[in-house]
Amino acid sequence: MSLAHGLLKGRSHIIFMAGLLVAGGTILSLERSSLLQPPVRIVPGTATTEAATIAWRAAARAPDPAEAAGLARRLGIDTAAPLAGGPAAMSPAAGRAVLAALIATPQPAATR
Amino acid sequence: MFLLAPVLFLLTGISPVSAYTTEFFGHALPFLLTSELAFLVGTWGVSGYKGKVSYLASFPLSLRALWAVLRGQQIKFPVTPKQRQEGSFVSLVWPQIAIMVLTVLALVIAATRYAGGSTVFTLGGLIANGFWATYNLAAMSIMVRAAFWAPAAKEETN
Repeated sequence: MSLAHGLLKGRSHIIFMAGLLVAGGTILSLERSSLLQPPVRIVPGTATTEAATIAWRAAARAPDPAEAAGLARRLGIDTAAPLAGGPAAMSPAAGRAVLAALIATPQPAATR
Repeated sequence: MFLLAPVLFLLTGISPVSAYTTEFFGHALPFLLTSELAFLVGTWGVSGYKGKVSYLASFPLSLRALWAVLRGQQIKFPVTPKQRQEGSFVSLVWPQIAIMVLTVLALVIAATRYAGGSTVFTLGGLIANGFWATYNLAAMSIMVRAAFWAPAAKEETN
């Protein structure tokens, strides 16, 4: 059997693999592009870091916190560190919104 | 569950995995790709598509068989007619049509909510579940098309 005939018969497998690669590649590049953004310069120990940490703890309760984790890492938060819960009153969506707002807001050099 | 999992995610945001991250795809993609490659090599020269999707699309039969076993019923093997049947077979494929309608609705609702700024979904989750849902739609469609199939006029005269 020729190679072309074999590939033609197995085209459903090839299409499935191509789809997997495109979907997986798109998601990975999205995540990488978020992570490759320049980190936001905030001074450790400032109110901003505290706010970002609390917001991340709330955002981490979302079913899929990958995007929020990317935002938190840009703010210098260690997302691999164990989470000691978050404020119950803050929803995961609100936590993610706070992280996004902190990134969008120019931070002062030092706000102690 | 395989058929309903993407629908559940697209309607509620509840994900079957904790996050669609590099770590998840680093484990899932090599497994999925190599198993598909193994199928391609193992069934070289034979189209495995219909067999693969028929397994998924015949879920009502599998569930009915499971239900019969759970109730302790005797398994029957009705003799199937050996001549072509004519007529409407929609009643045989309504579960597949229901899954297709539900999946398309869930896709539209999720895309609309995401475009409207909903933070329930991430784009990564939408892409992964969109791919999964599309695969399920393709699998269901083979059975639905079979139910509506009719021989061409030329073929019928032979």
